[in-house]
Amino acid sequence: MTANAISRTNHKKIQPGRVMLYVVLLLGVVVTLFPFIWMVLCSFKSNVEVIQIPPSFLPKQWVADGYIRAWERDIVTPYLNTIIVAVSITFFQLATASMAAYAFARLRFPGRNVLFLVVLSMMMVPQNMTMIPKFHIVRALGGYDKLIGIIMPNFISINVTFFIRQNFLSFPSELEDAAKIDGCSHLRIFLRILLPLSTSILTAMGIMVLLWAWNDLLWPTIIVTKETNRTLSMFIALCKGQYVTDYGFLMAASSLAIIPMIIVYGIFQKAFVSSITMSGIKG
Amino acid sequence: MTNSAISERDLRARQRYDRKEISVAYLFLLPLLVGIIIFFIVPIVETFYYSFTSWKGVGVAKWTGIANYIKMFSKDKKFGLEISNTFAFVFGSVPLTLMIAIVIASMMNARIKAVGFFRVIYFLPNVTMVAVVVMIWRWLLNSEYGIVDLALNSLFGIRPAWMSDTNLTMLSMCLISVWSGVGYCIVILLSGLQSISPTYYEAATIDGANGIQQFFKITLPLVTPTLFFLLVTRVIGAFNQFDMVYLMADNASSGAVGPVVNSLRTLVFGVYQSAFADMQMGYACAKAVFLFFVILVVTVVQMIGEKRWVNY
Repeated sequence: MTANAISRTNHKKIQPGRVMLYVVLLLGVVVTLFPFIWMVLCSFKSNVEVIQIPPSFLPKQWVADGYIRAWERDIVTPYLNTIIVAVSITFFQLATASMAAYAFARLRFPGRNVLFLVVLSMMMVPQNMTMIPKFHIVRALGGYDKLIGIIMPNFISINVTFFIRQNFLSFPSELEDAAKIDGCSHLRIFLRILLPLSTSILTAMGIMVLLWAWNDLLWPTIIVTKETNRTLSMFIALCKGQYVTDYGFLMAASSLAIIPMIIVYGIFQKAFVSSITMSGIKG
Repeated sequence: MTNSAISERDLRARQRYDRKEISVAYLFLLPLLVGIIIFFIVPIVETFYYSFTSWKGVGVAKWTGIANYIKMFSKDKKFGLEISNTFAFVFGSVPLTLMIAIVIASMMNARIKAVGFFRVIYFLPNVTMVAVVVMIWRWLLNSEYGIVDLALNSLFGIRPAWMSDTNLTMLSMCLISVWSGVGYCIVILLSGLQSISPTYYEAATIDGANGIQQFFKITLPLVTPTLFFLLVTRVIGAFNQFDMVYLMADNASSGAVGPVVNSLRTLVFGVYQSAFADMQMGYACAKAVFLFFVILVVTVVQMIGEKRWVNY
């Protein structure tokens, strides 16, 4: 497609500037993609070939040893843990955020604006700053060294609440008036009218949270030590210390760890971009 | 104003609220508010409180006044390193990321084909967990078998020890951070660029301005609001970067030795180490409070500086 574009431009009139543009952009693509390609290729090389000098680009012999060792070293447990944690965090954040957003955007109650300002002001506090008391609170609540402990402090999100509220504000008030005349309760309006109208923002936010929860390292590292409760990020991080030189395995485990998010990204690319630009527009 | 007028207004104000609606609203807000109290407000207050104690994580916290802060600035040599490393990382990664991103984004905005394709590719590192990003780069930069090392050696005959030479470790971390952060900035900048009216460029072209002139006279000034937003958020993000430091400097994950750890340890990493490796919770809280104020001051300074270069 790109090559086509260049040849078509060339056909009309050679524009060295435009050719340069594509050269630079394609160079950027190479720099971005090469590490990933190299990772996948190395993951299929045998232990001997992976450290061979000079290195071969394509594996001479495609072997799945790295993946077999990843299986033997039980990558499945952290995989399942990460799925449980990331999906739960996404679900809880969307649920609590859209409920609160409904109250802030569509209901009238005393103290609404003050309360909203208090909630927003919490955005200013970096999460890393409060990790020590948070650790002790979660431990006191019985979350230490458990998956639930990873989920616990992440069941709400101020950012997500903020963006869903913005979305709810954009609907006209006639929406509820008609429903109220029909005798709809607030819960029904929320579930049956507002949420179905907000699928695009919910998807965008959901993906943003899912990605964050899938990749997070600091909080799981603090709250979990038991091997059976580690997440993928922790698994990869701690692999490095354990199997220092087993590069076939390290590359295989790394490939496995990022595949789900790359697939999600492939499917929900538009939602990804809109969640990113949405947070960018705020400034 | 008479008494009756006030009460009448009050009455009207009260009538505006529907009792049932109020209770529904608070019910809907309950989860968020409970979460904010338990995981935001209480921890913030506690962080400040514990920073004045010698708390070890168990037992009663003993009030020690500003002893932690005095220790931080007078006795703790690591703390000095943490400050300088943090600033080195912020200055080494954020400006370069933004510069590359603005160049790439404006190239993508130059009515080229396949913008979508480039955007998808450039954004890829951003969906990859930092643990894997660092893992891949450790392998690429490996000083025995890494392909970058081999390439540099055969091209220029140099073999820099990216991950163990303490003069280079911070540079490596900054470059890895640039590689993984550029895509995010490109996507945001691109949406900012697309809102610039094409008529500016048409007029400039008619006047004979070339691409580079257009970049400096039109693109750059008009994209400053987006650039400013990115600058503020990326700087905050860089101050808070933990994963990368942990992966490159923590013994458990990287097997890094003393000098390497010291060349990379940042404030966030210092908070983590003091709290969870040394079990000095009170002291770690003091570091966290310090970090909070550093970020606050840096952000406020940027906000003040905003008027000088941001066009709205």
